[in-house]
Amino acid sequence: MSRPGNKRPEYHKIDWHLPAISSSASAHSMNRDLFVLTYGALVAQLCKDYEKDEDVNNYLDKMGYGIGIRLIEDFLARSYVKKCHSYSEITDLIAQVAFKMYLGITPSVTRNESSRNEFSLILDKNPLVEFVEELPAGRSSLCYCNLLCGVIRGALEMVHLTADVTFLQDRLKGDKVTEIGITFLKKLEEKKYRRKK
Amino acid sequence: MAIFSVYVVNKAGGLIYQLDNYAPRAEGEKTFSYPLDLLLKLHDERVLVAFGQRDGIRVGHAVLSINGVDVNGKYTAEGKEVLEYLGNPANYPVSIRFGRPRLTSNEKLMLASMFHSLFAIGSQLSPEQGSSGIEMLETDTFKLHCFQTLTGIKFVVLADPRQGGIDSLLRKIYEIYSDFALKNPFYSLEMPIRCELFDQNLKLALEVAEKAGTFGPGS
Repeated sequence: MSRPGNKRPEYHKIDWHLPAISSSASAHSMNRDLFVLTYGALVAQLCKDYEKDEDVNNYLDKMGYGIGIRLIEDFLARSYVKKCHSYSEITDLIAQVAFKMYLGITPSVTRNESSRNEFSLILDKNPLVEFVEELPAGRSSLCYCNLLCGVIRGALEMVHLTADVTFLQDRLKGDKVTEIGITFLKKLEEKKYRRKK
Repeated sequence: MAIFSVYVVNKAGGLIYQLDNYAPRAEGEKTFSYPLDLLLKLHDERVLVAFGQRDGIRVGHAVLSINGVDVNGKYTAEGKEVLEYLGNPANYPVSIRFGRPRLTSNEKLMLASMFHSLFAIGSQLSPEQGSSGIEMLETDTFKLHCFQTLTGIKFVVLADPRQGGIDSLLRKIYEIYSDFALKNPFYSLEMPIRCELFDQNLKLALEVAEKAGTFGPGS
């Protein structure tokens, strides 16, 4: 008696009778303004607490990292994705599934021709900066949405991929589009037994 | 009652959560007179029945309590050795309770890390690349189902062999873990899970799975 090779998802749906708080993120109906305002309040408070822009950017990245390492499990639990086998698959997944699930937007993916492991996400619409006109004077190098970079970095690290994630262009700083650059670094391999030929 | 236990193992192989869901079978307390017609032996710090099965007391059952007082491994509550105590005719008649020995939490920890190692060996033994690792272990009394996430956490469920729907239960446990353990800001990753909400929702999910999944007789 052999088991089927690929596990197909079970088609008969079970009603788990669990409270609505555990529904998937895309089914959450929370007031989006509240979320955007909370994020804005966070950045504003950080700006009051720290003088240097790099400090604020660092802290946003760290907070994002803490979110990313937890969010990845939620993402994997709800999206039934299979293991990816290439960096472009991963970037496509981030842009088309993850961003859609959590922010409701689908950035487009471009790939740096010169190197195999550099990709960019071009954000057309960014809900986080909906109410922000421009960066305040004296804060010209603030990456307002740096939290997102930290989230992506943390999430990738939990699936054993190290990456450098930064804002390459930012509409708030005067560029034409908002672009997040992802550079994949050395893959963290789980200890695998390699037979030497 | 068809789902016996749930184990959650972290990336390093440490057990971070464990739930036992089976009701213990009625362990009767019986009175014995000298000489004891069961053969007892000492094994692994416990006093087990080696021979002389009768009346619901089976080989492998451990001495759980003497005269109503729980024993402490191989010693009685007062510190005397159980075998010595039961060998002395002056202590009879005595009432002893026998039952299946429960695993201590240390033993569970050890078993979980052993399973983690076996799982790793299993994926390396695979002739094909990219094996998923051990998904199921089957015996005549239970089936062990394991699901490893892409991040390395393993969810292990021990259930009745006839119980179905364990695959979706494992996914559901993953969702419950991501909701009630991870989203709790005071829970640190890879540490033992001590979240009330996680417990409650897990038990609810087990109940639903038991009702929905069993197709065999006697459900």
